[in-house]
Amino acid sequence: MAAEQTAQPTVNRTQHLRLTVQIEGSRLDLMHAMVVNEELDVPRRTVGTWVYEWRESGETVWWDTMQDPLTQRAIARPKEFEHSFGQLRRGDFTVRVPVGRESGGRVLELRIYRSATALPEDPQSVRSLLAADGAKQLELLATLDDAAFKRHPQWGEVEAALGIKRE
Amino acid sequence: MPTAPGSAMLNAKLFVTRTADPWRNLFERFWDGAEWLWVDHGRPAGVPVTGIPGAAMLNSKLFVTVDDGRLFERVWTGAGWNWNDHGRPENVPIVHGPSAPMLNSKLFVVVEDGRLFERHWNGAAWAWMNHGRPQNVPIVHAPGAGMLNRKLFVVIEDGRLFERVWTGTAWVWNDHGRPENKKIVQPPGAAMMDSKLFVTIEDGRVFERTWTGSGWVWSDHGRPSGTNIATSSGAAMMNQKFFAAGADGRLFERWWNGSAWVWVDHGRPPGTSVTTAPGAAMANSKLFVGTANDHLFERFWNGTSWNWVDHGTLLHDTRATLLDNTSLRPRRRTLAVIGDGFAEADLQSYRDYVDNELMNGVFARDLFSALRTSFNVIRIDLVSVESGVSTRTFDEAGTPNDGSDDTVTSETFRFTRLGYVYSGSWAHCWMDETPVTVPAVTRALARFAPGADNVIIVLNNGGWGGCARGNRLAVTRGVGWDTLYHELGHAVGGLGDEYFRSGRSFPGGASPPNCSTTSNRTTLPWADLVDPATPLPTNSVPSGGNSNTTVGAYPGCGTFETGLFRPVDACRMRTNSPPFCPVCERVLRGILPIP
Repeated sequence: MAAEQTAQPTVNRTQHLRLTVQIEGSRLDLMHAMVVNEELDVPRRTVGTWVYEWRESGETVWWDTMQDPLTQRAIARPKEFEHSFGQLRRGDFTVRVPVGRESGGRVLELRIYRSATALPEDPQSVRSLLAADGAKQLELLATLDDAAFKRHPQWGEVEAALGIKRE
Repeated sequence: MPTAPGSAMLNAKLFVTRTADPWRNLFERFWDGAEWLWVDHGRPAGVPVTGIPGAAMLNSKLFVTVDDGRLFERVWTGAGWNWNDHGRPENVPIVHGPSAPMLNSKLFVVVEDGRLFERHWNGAAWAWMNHGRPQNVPIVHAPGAGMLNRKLFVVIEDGRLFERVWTGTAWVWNDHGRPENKKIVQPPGAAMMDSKLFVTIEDGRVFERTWTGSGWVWSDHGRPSGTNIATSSGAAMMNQKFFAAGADGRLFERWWNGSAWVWVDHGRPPGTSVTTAPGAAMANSKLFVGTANDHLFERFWNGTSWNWVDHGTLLHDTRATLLDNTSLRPRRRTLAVIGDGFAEADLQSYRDYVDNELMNGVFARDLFSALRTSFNVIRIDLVSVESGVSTRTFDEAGTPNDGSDDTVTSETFRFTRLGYVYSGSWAHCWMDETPVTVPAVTRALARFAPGADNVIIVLNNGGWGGCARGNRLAVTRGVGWDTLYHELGHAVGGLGDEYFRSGRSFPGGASPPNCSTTSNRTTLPWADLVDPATPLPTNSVPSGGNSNTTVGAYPGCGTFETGLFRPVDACRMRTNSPPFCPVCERVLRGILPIP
């Protein structure tokens, strides 16, 4: 498994896929998908307690962290300092993952996790949390499977942007 | 002021020109499948566009005239839009048209001396053909009412209608005269069934000119109740209706109800009046007009009733890069700013807000000033149809901290691009998003800032309020740079608040990187920043220390009075005023790509 542990830094793709995803309970809905001609850099530090994992044909290609999309925060009243926090039933977030032409032929999967405790600062350490058998820190909340991507109305544009031609 | 709309294509786009500087360009209004968008086609060869775009062909080309009287073609090549210069016929400036397209290969214009010219594709090249003047009297309006690809109609200086027709061997002029010997004062329009057309005469009545099978006859359609018709007839539909504008700014439909022609009063668009001829009819259920407030309005049959849809001023969305470090590697964090509820007249106040509070506020102070090269900032100028955002008022039942018992007492709707609703209620996050919000934000980012990491949305409302959800922070114009600064600490660094409320104890779980569950000198996450002389926990700023920079483990953080410790007594994450403390700064520097 050592190779898997370092999968993220070896990704060498010059495009990335920007996904807007909605979460409600254990359900994920793909709202928008587009290819951006920009290379992603490996995150330098974790942020927040949520983790997304991008898998292609079972292999973890990319992961990153994000803040809780189900929490809303009102700014303080004038001359006060206290926020009003609210918990949302449904939230949305943006996922960006490196993709290449070869991604088109693979089984794609997006997994969303939540950590009950603070994540390690080093994003590479999060990889081991994804891979650990029986890992307790990360709770798998929801998954977006290959079919969900392929049936999305914008997926044809995504494949075209990746240079994939369908008969 | 917009010209009359023209050149409808695919039931999803039309073209219009703006008649006042600085925007005398060709504009397209385009339905992208989710929303109507303005597209600025600019002006050919730098010369302002004049008149109504016309002579649409093949759903991929149209023609305009420009200030120096040249004709230009705007054509979609399959990869992009191009301008083609057709010049001037005999070098005489064009003053009316282009119009009356035929066979996707010809159109007609009128030049300065009142002659009619045809521009046609001869199979190898575009050529001009001079049709001259009927009875040598100048033509004074755009040609119209093309029929059977071999005839069209013009109005001449003395108000007579003339037909120009190809007999099979030659082009000839036929004099149709004047209805009741009154002058025709608008271009001929609303051709139907290749056998009738409509004209407006000097006393504001509409006349029909019809071929009966044996001869041409005039029929008087009169005028709608209470006003004269002031435009040409346009937007013909189903060979049984057309539209025209009244002198009082109302839109009228003239409709054959199966037994008689009747006038149908469509009234005025909300808050304004119709000033142009109707045009760009689509799907037999919609048409467009220009209005006195410089807007384009759609009149739309929804299956049950006719409705007005405001398409706003002819101003396209744009973006401006305020901080550009895109050439640096690793890639810089991109912050996109989007306005909601800013109509054209409000755009400068939006730009001023972004300049004053973000660029000259946040990015001119403290840490973010030093980290300007770690960011790209893109300002997206979405032009809303209406000014201001929708509002909602709650009866807070005397419990302003608890939104669960609130009831809505009033709402006002504004048609804005992102659909935000400002409430001014803290317990309701000051504002609500609507179902259109996330898709609209997503589309705006896809168009203008696909690499955005964080988004700030500015609502055109002067009240106080801000709400963060995911990677978006929405604020009103009433919120200053210091609040933005604090919120960017959350958004960019994942930093927690360092204030606390009395009596709250940390229950365990995840804590942010600037709050520690321990004050132990060896396990404190920022232990390396603590002076050995500083007591831990740190109940007060040590003598000679600084409330913003002397790092310790001060009780109270993350809104909890006990169980969490903060790095300093006063940081921007506790209140908005002081700079970030050394610990928060280190977190941010650890996340951001540092030059």
